[in-house]
Amino acid sequence: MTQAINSGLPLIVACSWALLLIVVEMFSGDRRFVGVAWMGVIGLAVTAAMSVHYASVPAVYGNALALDGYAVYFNLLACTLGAAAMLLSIDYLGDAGIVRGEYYSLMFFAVIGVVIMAAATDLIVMFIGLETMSMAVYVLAGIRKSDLRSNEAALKYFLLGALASALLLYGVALLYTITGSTVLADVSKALSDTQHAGADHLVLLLATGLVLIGFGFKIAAVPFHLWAPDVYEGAPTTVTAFMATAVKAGGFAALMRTVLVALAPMRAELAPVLWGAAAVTMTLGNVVALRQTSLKRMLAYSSIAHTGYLLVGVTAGTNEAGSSVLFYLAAYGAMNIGAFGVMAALARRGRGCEKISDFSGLAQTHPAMACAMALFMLSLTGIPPLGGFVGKLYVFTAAMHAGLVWLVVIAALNSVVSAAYYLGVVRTMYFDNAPADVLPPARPYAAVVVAVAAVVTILLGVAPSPVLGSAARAFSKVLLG
Amino acid sequence: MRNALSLLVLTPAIGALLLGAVPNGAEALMRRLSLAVSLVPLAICVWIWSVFDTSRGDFQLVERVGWLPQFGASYMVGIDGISLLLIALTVVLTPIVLIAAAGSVHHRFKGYLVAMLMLESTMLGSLVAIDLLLFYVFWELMLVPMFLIIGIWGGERRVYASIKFLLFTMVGSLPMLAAIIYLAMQHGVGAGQVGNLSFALGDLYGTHLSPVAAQACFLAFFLAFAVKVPMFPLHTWLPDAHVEAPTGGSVILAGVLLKMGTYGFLRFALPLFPEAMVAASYWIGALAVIGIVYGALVAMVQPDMKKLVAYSSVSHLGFVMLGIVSLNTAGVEGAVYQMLNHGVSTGALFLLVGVVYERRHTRLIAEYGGLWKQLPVYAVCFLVVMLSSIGLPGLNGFVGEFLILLGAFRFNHALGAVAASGVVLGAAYMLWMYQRVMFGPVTNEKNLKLTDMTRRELATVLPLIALAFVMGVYPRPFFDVMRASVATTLAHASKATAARDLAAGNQPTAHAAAGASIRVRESPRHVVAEPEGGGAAAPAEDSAVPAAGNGEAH
Repeated sequence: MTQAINSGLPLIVACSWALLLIVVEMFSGDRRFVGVAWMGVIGLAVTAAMSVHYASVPAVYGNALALDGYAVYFNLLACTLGAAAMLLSIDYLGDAGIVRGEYYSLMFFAVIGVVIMAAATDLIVMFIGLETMSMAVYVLAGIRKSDLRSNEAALKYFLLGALASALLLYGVALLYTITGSTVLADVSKALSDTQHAGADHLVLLLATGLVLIGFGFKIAAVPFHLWAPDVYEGAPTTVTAFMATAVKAGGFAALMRTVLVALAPMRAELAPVLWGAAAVTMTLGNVVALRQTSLKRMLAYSSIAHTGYLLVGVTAGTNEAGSSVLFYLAAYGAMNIGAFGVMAALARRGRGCEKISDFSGLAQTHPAMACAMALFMLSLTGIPPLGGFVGKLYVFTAAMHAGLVWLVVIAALNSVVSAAYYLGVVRTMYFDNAPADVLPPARPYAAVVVAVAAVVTILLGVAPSPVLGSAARAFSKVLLG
Repeated sequence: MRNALSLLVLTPAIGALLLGAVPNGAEALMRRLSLAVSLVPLAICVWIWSVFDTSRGDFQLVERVGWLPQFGASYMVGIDGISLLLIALTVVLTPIVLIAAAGSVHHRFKGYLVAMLMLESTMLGSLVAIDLLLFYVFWELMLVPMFLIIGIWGGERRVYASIKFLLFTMVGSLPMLAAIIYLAMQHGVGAGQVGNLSFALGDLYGTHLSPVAAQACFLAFFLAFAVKVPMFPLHTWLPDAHVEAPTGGSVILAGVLLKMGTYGFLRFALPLFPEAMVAASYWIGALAVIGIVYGALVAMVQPDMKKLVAYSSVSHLGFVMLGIVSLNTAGVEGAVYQMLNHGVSTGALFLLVGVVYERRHTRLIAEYGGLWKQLPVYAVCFLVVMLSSIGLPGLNGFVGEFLILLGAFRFNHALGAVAASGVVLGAAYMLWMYQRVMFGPVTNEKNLKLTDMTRRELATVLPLIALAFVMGVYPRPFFDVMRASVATTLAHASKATAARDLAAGNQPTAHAAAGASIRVRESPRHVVAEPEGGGAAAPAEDSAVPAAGNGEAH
């Protein structure tokens, strides 16, 4: 009983805190909501600290929720990324004309959604987490009510997202009809105990397919990626930063538990599908990113490509591969928050700072920002010794161990292609001349976030052992048997 | 000084950070600070040279710190004679380039110095790394400062050239990364320790690989290194990069960066995949010889001095590769020596081309003529450097080329003979260029106002000229340093090489495993005596060689 309360406590506190944020915001006079933002950050820190403190392995609430190492890892990751996005927002929101305090509360709820998705050991609970996260992000994407692009992005995201959620739920329901349970471990047991032939087998395949589509949408895997570029571009930059990192992490947290635990007996059928999805996703993301002129769209396609790299790890499905995905998400989070952070730090009303050409000559006008941006781009390319390199190395090595040699070859070739567009940004910043109307100085809060992200990106490359170790420990108990 | 190598690698990087803190206007301070910083690695290198044990062929001054224990990768550095010589080249060229910067870099001065120092750090890192993953890290990092140097401070088509440079080298090195990982995973497989990764070079010697896997891995390494060398037909990025790069960038690119490719063959490709390397040696030798002749022929028709020197690099590096694949003591020692020579001579050539470019802003040969009367000091410097580049006895180039040809003839007569013709061609394009630029009447009025070399320009070129003389008349200390290391490197491939030469019906030569050490001690001294005597005392084994060696000079 105490254990059940303890395991749920971080979530209970987090939810209460998010509600409290709404109340505080109503009485907050300062339209920049600095206090609210800081309260949000503190709340996330408390949530993260509590989840570490109350971490325990066994699942509680009838096997619906487990605050195991895996959940704690994602909890820390999501809270950190959420806090970073909140700090980025402090100066950005007012200038972008977003004077709504519920922004922080919504972001807090989205983080809670991610945390639930990672902790869920039951498909229904996982779905609740997914919806908590999605609903909050739908609103966040369209929070700039007067901006048509933002509206379009939010509507598109909402309609497609709702469809994907429905498909996912339908898949879960079908799984339930076959296995009689929604608990991941029980589903797995039921699937491996009985042979499903004929119609049953077809239903099973249909259910699996629907579940995969639902998650595929959330992580923007091809062919369910079509929303990503528009939404990333239309949403406020800080929200995009959050979506590209924390939301993706949540998607992978749920996907990995589902595929590697509940659907583990289906490995033979799933492997080729995942293999193909990984290959197509990274290739398409990289090739299309080559042609982008908007930095936000480019990063959207880049994020699709990185989904592909991550799927390589999921396809391998071993312990090593699972922990490599966890590490990759951390490295990916640091460099993407950083890249979007640079954009948010320099954006001013009327100048979104969203085109690649907006960064011409940045090395001369803002040497520190340009240097940080170059660092993130190099890390995204996978240039050693940065976090992105170690992440790729870890994922690809694990995949090689699992025998996916050709998939690794495709991934490596993709890395070469990606160099062209990431380095294009470096080229623009360093080789081109600055325009006459120089960008304004970087905002202080955002500059600090960018600096921290840069340091983390370097550390994850130079001294990654602590994070590698915790990723390995976090994943060590996830797989059954 | 147990951490001498780490200090060596880190000081330029720390200096670059210090330099970053200097306020933008203070150029004089930047100049002095950067020069002072770059002298520290030079001092460390002198110290290392003094404690270096020349009788040992294994790695010395080894340091090892854990980095990625999960992968068996560590920060592991160490040097042998071959890397020590290239380190010396690097730390000598960098201060020179930094001095030259004041004349050739006119905007974003601080950034240039920072990039140069970072480049030095990464180059030194690649030379001391004896963990494959660490080597790859430095190898890739090396591209970034060079990319910026070409792209920011380069000429008209700098962006195109910098991207081409980057993409060529990056595409070339990714398969190498895959091969490195594969190799690390094969470590311990023979001993039944699957999954026990190691990236340490020493652990990976003799890793059990199937012949196909070994060949595939070798091919991956070959691609990465051959692009860098660059070997025909992967050389097309080089003329672009050289022509567009600022003077200092060209000096370092030719002087050190290209050597990373040939160094890679000796340090990694040969010891790790001896059978595959030996099997491919004829093919590589053929490509090298094509590069020698092709580079020389294309250099001959270049209207642009810098492009001419760039193509001459293709030709000279062909010699180095030929020496390496001959896989005998003379060839490999000659190749290592020629790496240094090329760094000195070609570095000086680029500096000298930069001298007139700064004055006239053109490098077209046709724009000049009659400079001998206008710029006598310049003309003399150019003459010496050019003669060293074409291998005049008494200067450095001769020793290296001679040994390489000696080794090449022992390896394969046909390849040796064609390569020897490259020596003649080399003399032809250089002398012809010199004639058109220096002799005759002054045809272009603009040249009448040219001033001779400044003190700063002399300060950059004279040390290299002095080195060319020293290395020409007294090469002994350099060979002392490399001898044991070359023997160790060759010993990795001795079995395969002996089989190759037996099959080809060649006489058993210095590389035959058992007798190697004795012959190794003999051969350099052999050659040392000759340059002074103008090649008269050449060994009798290959009479064709000295003839070719002399013929080119006249």
